[in-house]
Amino acid sequence: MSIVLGYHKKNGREIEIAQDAAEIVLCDAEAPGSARAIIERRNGVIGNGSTSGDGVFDFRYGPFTGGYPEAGLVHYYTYGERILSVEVDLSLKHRGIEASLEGEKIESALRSVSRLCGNFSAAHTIAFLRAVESALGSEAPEQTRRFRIALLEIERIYNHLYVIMRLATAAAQKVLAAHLAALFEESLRIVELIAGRRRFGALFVGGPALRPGGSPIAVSEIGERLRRVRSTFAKLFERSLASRNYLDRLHRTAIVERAVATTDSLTGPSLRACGFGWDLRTSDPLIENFEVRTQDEADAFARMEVRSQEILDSCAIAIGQLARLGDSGVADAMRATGEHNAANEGAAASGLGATESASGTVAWFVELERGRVSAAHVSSPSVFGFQTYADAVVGNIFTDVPFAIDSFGISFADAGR
Amino acid sequence: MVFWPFHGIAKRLTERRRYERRTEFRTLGPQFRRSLHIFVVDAGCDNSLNFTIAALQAPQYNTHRFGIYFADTPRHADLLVLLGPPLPSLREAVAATVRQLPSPCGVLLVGQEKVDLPATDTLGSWTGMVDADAVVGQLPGDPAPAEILAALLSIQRGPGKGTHPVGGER
Repeated sequence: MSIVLGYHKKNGREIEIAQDAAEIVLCDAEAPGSARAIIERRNGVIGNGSTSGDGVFDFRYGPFTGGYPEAGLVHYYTYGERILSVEVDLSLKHRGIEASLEGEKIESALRSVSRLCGNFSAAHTIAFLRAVESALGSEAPEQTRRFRIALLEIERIYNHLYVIMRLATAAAQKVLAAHLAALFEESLRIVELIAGRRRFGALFVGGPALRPGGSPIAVSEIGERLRRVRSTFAKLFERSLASRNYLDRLHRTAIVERAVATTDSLTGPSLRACGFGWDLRTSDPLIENFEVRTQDEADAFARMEVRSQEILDSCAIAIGQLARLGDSGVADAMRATGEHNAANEGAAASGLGATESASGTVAWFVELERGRVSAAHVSSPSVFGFQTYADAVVGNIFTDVPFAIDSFGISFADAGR
Repeated sequence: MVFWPFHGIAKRLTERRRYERRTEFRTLGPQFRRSLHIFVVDAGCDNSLNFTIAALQAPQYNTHRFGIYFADTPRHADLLVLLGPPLPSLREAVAATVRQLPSPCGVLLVGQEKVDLPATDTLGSWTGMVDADAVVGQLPGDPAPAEILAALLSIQRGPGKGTHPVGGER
């Protein structure tokens, strides 16, 4: 079994980007399936259509609301309580980033890629770089690959903390939410300590020069701070499970059917909460003793549990990778982040690269010609996340919406591209 | 286990420090010295500024001690914080939000290329969303929460002597 992540037309032939467990593969496009319908509509409106009838109205949520920080538009069709169907408008944040990359050099393309979605900037930038490397037939040195793993894990930590903080806030868990906010801020400070900005993508565009004074990073300091994040979060997680109010809001909220998860091409922690042990990190030989976290209930609580366990794992993985590199290894890897030599002057080539982002698979397919990008296609997890959200929230009541939408960890910037 | 509401009281997460501002901001008026309600609008940012705003609400910054509160609607706000760079698809929605602000009010532009102010015809990509007269300042680039807080304090209290923001105030 495999799930479809995207289609790309090349020389009149259509190729399919698909994921099978921990592998990303390219194959010939097959007959139209449900995933194709989502992918074709991803610049506009996705979801499960409008509903009309006696007393049914369109509750237009967005583009700006007090309850959801990001600009985006969702139409809920309801008669006042139960949600009958949902339409998600992804066009507001559509920036046409794939098309804007055509004719760009790798350096300038990376600038746009790193700004596709700020909170997944490491995932997108590294997936794009992996695609470029695959096109050039080269492989990054081991220390670069280890450094990238550490960046991806730290990005996962702060994204997961954000999701759980949003869930705790929505459930009026003031003490828990305040402590999680403090941890979230601390994890962003760790990002700033490494990259000089609060986004890792900046590192690949500006190189290590962004850091004040260009001072070297002390691995021991980052390790110590990550260890503190890990132990504090472990205690908070244990305490949070004692709050009935909190658990009641998450239990049985927005349950994703296993069949829906695969037809909607869901990936990441939301898929793992449906019992699928799919994680791209299992196929990375540099991550040792990796254990995939899964749950079976497929509700908002299961998604929160998977994310909580992954925060603890990610801290350990990041600490381990940075410790293996040491201060000098990190300094070398940092220097390499700003250097991109497209050594394929003349020859046309194409490649596929993917990363396991905090909310699912990010895949980039890139065609290169004379050192420039000639075509690109991105598969971002939020497109499929929003579709699954729309399918899962139907039948729930209106007050479940914040728990449902936040538990997927999706963003309009990522989906809109 | 310690009783949950008491957990962390001894941790003293709030930081006492100076919040230095990079540029000058226009002060809204003396009536906002002790209370400033802000409404944050994502005018098309790539979501990292939304994360920065979420981080600004963390206990380390404790904005409530300065009287800075986050409003849930523009009608309750004194200051509109616009997160850019702005997208044309959101222009009409941003303009409608600006129209809902009560007077007196101000607009802070965050996270885009710097535009030339106060000349009214050089608002750049913000043209059609907001009047240049309403703009109290701008924070281009990727500002950290501390920089945004410094700007808010400056807008609230002004740059005068004795009003420079110092952390740890109650």
